[in-house]
Amino acid sequence: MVARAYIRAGVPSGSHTRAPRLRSVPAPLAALLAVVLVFGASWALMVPPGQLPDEPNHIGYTQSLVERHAFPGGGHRTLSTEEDLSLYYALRGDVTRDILKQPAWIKAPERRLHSIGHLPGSDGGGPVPQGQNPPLYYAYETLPYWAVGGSFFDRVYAMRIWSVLLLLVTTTGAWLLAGEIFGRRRTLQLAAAGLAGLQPMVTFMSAGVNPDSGTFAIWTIALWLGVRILRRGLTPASGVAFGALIGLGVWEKATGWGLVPAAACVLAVGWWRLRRGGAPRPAIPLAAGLASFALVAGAWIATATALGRPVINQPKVPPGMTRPSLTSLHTVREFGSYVWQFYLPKLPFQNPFWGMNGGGHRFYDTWLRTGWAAFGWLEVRLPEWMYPVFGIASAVLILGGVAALARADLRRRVDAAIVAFLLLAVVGLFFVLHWADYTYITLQRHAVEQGRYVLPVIAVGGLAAAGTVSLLRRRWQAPAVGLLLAALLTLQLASLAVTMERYFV
Amino acid sequence: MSRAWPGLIVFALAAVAGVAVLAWRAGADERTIAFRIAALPRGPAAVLAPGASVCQTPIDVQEDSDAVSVPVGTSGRPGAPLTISVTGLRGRLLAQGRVRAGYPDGSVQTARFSRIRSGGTVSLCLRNDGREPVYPLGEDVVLDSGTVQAGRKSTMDISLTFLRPHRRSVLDLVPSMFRHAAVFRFGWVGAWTYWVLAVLAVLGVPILCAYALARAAREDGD
Repeated sequence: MVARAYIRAGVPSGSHTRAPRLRSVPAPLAALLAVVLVFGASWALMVPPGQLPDEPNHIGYTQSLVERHAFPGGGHRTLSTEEDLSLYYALRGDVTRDILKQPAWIKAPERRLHSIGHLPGSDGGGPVPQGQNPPLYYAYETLPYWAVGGSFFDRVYAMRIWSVLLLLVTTTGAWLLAGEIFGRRRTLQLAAAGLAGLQPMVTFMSAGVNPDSGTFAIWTIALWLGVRILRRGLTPASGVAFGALIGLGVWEKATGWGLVPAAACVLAVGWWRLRRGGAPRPAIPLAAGLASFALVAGAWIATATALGRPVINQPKVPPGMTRPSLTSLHTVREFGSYVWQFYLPKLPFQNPFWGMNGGGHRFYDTWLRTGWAAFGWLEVRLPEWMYPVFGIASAVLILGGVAALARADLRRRVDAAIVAFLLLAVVGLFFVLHWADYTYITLQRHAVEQGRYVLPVIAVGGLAAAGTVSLLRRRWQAPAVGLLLAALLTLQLASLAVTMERYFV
Repeated sequence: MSRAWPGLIVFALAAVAGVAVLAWRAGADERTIAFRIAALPRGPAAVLAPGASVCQTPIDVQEDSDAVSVPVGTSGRPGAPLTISVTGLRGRLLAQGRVRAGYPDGSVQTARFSRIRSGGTVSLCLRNDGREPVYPLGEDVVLDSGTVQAGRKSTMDISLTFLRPHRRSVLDLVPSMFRHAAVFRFGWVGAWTYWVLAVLAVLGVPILCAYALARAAREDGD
């Protein structure tokens, strides 16, 4: 009777009693993971140390955890002597954002650095903006830092390679997510996972010391788990796993809070369906999900509060100003105006918003250009003509995804809850990003938005790609995915080439 | 015909076309610059009175070079002739070249000399052989290099651009790029590591993608 009730609620027969079986990795996924690993390792070993956005500070955070057993913020030096001098010799001073400057190409500076002898690694940990980040990713990176030892560069590159493993998680998550949405259709799964694992900014960011790699992985797995719950039904085990993962998201990066409304939707719908299906004690899986989230996320809030750290990254409030709040009508109106001008030209009655130059351009400059291809410290770009092509490709994928959704709806094959969940995840992420950008601009006249910040929902982009392919006749689907993979492969090679050309010619 | 073939053909054609375009672009993009001193010409790095000289030292020779370009300010007068010498750190003359008089204010002047090999550390000195003062341009940027004039050290750096003996395409430069990329990495990483990765990326990856595509199409057809 219990099994029948779960079946009515959408849970596959027996799944609540039997432990999931470990199955072998599908061959197409295994091959794709090998491809992603090759490109991930290439990026990790090719980009000079410190040449991803904010990478020196992220390395410094990890070093502070290992060497000082403390969060950054209280140290005397911003970065340790070891990191400072090592990067200085490797980068011949500094090459950041200046394409006329190249790092060291010969061994002489390496020998000079080596001849200095021991450099202290525990005198860093000073205040850096990234020091406000939650610690999960940095704790993950302490493992290779500690295990590899050796020179500063041995540890940095070990941390990068370790980060690449998270890209494999992202790719696998996108594969599984597409499997939940489209069923066991390998070609479509390959399209979705291929885009998620081989989109150049995803690979570039995942192959550096930067918490974005963990954020991509957590979001992708959370999207898969959420859809899985909505398709197969909420169980205590899936509720705990899902809630804990959403909780881990806020230990990873403040962006993780953007997933909370979508997760609430999943748990609420899951509970409602159990109840409607007559499952016994439907509140238990719901409570399990909520409790695991509260426990994990609450642990971060308690830890941060106890240590006097902010729960989320926040800019300092200059004297005479107040922090923007959504409880203020003025702020809501101004925030609305900011969002409008981010995407669209300013309307005659709107006040011009700082940094928007009449409005509309940041959508293209920020989301599109730096979301597809902006390497190094964003100064390494592909040829200019390629960015409109990315714009067209993105529009085709989005429109194709929407068309696939509309077609599936006409055939009554769409679960509205899944659409709502994915939409809430995207909207939640964009809300968090825009609110952060708006707050920083208001308080510090400093825009913080970058295209890579939208990449936690790259798996939704993968779904759109797969949905676009699904619109084609069956016999055209494999050629379309072949074209997509060839385009991604070429794009990876082109991106690696411009990055090598920038640093090593 | 297997279900996989159309996909494989499209993939192969598109991948070959993509790689060919990249190779063509890299082959057509020719470079003359060997390496630079990481200083931009923001202002005078030194003032050279008639007969005076200034040296930039130490300079890691990052690539073979047989010429150097330097931006020179002249306060609006025709530029004075310059002698440019490359010496070892102990003062042994390795190469020498000259810049003729009469160049305009703020222009970039090039002196050719016999080839210096990559890997060594040298000094580069400019001597004013004319009767008007000139000033090489640069900025204060590099910690372990600077200028020395009349025995006095300065942290200012001259904006020097060393040139290649021959024009080289970016494609030609791939081996040296791999060599450059191996510096300040894992101790065991060498240029060979990047050759292995390049072979994997250009040959292994397409094979893996084709395999993934073929298996996916076959499994979908089951």
